[in-house]
Amino acid sequence: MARPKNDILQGTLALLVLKTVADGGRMHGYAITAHIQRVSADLLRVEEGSLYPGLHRMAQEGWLRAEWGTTEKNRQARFYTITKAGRKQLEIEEESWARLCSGVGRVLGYA
Amino acid sequence: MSWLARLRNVFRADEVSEEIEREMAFHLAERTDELIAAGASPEAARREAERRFGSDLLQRDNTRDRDVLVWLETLLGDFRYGLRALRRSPVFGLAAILTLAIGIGANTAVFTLLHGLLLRSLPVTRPEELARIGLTNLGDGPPAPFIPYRMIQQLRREQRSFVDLSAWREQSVAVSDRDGMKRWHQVGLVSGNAFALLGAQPRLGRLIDESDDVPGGPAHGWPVVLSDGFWRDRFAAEVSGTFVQIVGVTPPAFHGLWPGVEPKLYLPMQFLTVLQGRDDLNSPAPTSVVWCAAIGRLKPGVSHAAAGVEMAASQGRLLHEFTPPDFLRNPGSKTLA
Repeated sequence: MARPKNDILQGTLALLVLKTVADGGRMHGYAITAHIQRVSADLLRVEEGSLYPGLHRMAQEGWLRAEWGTTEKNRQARFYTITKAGRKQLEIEEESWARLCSGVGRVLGYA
Repeated sequence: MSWLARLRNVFRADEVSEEIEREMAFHLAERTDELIAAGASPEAARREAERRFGSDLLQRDNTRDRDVLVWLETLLGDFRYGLRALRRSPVFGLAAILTLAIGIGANTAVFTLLHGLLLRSLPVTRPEELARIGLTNLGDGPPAPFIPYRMIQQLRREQRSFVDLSAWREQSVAVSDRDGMKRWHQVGLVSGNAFALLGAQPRLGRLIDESDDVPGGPAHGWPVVLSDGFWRDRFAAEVSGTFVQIVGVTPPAFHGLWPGVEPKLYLPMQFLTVLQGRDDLNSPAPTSVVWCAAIGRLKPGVSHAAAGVEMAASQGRLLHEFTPPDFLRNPGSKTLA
């Protein structure tokens, strides 16, 4: 599977989505994508085809609450909010990301 | 359980898929607006929005719609001609229409390609080659996303567009934990070629293969493959009173075909005969139909559109041979009405 280089590293999608929704409140998938792209200064791009299955999985895990609603443009969209379990998961993911970074950093000799 | 209730059960997985497709449609609309605002023409904006989904399927679907329109217009013309003929010679006309109706019934498009976007997002080898085949002609409404198991087997032999077709089925099964507690878990029953066709590599051990999916089970007992998540949580040793052997673990990134219905365990399709206590898979009796999702991988160089055409041209014979009569749309009624 050849993927563009700036696609999000496997496993970090949950971390980025949970962080985004934790800060942003009630958001639909498109807003989540746009936020990640903007905040990362276009360094990160959510692969759109895998975002929605991912969101459904996170809702199933109980990390996100999902409901259909209407946007300002009067379109039907599914809105996500973070749950208590989601915040807990976010902590876990942040911690393991920090560990990963420090590990990789050491191997590369930056830390 | 009534046929309808059973069918509805089978369809539940599909409601999730439909919901996601609805979400994706919203995403496409928003992205298109944004690109138009940035100066793109509406058409270019739409194309670009679709491309970012990694899909040119939607484009092809539009083309097919136009073909259908032409076909409908032609049909309408034939129908008008038929009416004029009927006025001139009622008896001959009626006989001709009946013949036409029977002919159309036998040749109506039976199979159709479904769900492009979802399969394309699976973490497997070249997901863009995957296609799901649905069945038209069942009741009213959209094409049915599930096909009787034995029909899939026959279609496997007759089709030419796909490398192969596999069968997937999800159902709840009571699984005993190590401490003897029984819990209901979502289980995936897969034909022997299903994982090989996806190109999925096991995290541990091996995945279900052709030698596992034989009537009565392989000589060394039924094998079970655990999902990565289930493997990490805990593992099971007994499924519905039958001891099964853990042979492998699915790749960590693989969560089943459909979001929201992730199976915890995978067993060979033939294990269904153990679960049901009867042989619905291989029995030729027309009332024992096992509905499965049919997933194919296109041969290199065959487009989704071309495969769609082959599927649509398949003979109605398969439909009548493998579907219980209650499910069939009466082929003649629509034309005569």
